Amino acid sequence: MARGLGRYILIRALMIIPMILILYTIVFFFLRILPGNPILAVVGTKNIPPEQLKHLEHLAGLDKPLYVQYFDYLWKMLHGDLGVTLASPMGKPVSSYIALRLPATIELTIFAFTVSVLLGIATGVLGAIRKGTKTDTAMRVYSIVAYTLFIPWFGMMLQYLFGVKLHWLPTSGRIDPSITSFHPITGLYILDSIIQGNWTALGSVLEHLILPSLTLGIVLSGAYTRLVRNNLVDVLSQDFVRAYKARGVPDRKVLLYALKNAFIPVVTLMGLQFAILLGGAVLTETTFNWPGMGTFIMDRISYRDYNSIQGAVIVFAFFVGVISLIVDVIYALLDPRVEY
Amino acid sequence: MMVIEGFVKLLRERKPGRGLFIFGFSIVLIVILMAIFAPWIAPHNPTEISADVFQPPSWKHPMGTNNLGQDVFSRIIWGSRVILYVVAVATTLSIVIGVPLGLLSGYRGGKIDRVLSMVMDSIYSFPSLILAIVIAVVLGPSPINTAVAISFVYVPTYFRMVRGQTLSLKGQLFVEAARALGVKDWETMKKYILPNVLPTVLVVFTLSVADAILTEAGLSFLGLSVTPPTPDWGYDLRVGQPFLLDGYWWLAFFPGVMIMLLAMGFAMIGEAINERLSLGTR
Repeated sequence: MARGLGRYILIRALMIIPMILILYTIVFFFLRILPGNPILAVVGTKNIPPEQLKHLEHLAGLDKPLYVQYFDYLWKMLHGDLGVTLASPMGKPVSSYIALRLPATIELTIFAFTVSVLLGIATGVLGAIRKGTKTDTAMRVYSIVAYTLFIPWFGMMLQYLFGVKLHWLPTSGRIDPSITSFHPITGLYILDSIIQGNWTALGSVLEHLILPSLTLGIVLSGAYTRLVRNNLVDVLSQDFVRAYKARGVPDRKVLLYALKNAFIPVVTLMGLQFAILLGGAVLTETTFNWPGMGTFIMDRISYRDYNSIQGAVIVFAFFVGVISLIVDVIYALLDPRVEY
Repeated sequence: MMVIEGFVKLLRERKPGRGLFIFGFSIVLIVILMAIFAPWIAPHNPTEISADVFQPPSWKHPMGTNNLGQDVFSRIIWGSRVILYVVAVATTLSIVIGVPLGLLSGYRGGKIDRVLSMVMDSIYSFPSLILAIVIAVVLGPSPINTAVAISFVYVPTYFRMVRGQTLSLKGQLFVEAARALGVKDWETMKKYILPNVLPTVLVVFTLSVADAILTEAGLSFLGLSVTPPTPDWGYDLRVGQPFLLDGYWWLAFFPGVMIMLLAMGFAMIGEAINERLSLGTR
């Protein structure tokens, strides 16, 4: 059985490769459709010396035929090289930027994900055990409203309320810039400040995380509310629940058992939600000036730095692939009916 | 015709989902009317710059004025045109591309099916907003380009649904009978399978329009959809953000509320239809 699971994970992991390849291909060709020379677009004026232009083109690999560029980059990608930036500063490895930005996005998405799951389960359970009452309707309205909240707007309202009006929380950035004793190691600021034993920094990092992760987490919680509620209602009407109740098992315990059963489809939703979460992270990061992957893409877009955009998309694809792999493995472990 | 009859039924019959439907439908209807009659409803020219900057909401300016002295209320009314136009074009495009591809893939099977499914699944599992951003950047800021970018990311949604349905319909007797009689493949798809797939397309459509609205708003918030001074909800929200922190809340508040209401209106219609048909697609 353990060997079977190992094989299942391996096969499932190999399935990430075509996905990354396809997304790379789409993005590569889309970025090349654009008329005009990206270098000129970056430099802005057409009166730079031709030799310098040639040199820059060569540096970026743009002097080669399209298919050579395609396979060159692919080959580099396999070695973890995502090319060099095409714009100010030019010629820096894209991966060095991503190493700086990705941890910020990971930190934000982990917190937002936790908020969304906890809130979603809480509201869903509340709706299910008060089925058919006003509370149930309220939870249903919550799920629709949360789902259709526009992230930047909701974020701004929280900024206005907790930042401008109440002065409780900071509205942008990851850490108070006046804290000079903090030095990032991994880029995951929570981890870094704990390693360094720097509690003021930790406090500031957590403070900065609250509003962005609440914004993203609340918006994404709506989908869970619905699913948890509907599943739990189904499970609660099943025979085994009645049997438990008849035997005098306390309600709280029965609910726990039922929730365990209602949870399996929620795991599948988590995988799907994660992609939406990453998309939402771009908007959240822009709203809260959060130096993550989303703001990285937006920064690079203003420079028309295609290599960086391409690199960021590949990293996102890899991220999504790994998450869906994890979700599938958890699902396989939870649900004995899955064959692997 | 079938769609209109269904709408009327949802409005008249006292069954679960009616309240949701009426509420959602009214919101959407109001926004559509706003867009059609914009020139007559808007009290001011939405792009006219005046010296009355940062005026709070008043009788003269129901939603106040922005940093350029433009009337926010008039911009909201005119802005409904851009978002509705983009979403309408985008969803039409994704249906026109996604449905036939899904039919072909499901009906033909084999290599075409495997390749198409793999490509579509890859796009589907990737964060749609990020892909739309990349495409929108390449095409440049204009409403039609935004629509193309959004349509691209929603093709897989229709494709997957239609492919699945086609697969199950293909095995049914009436389709086999048609094939046995020698009806051509494309005619079987058009005459026998497509009509049976359409109700599902309708449900997927109502459920994904809300998403498409939020994607459009997201792209224009990021500055990838329209160029100033075109009134646009997402873009106006972005412009209003720095002033919100100075206490001028009305610049950002109203455009955001409109985006949310419109998305909510469609989500409620979708929810009501879905509940009635109880297909349980989500």
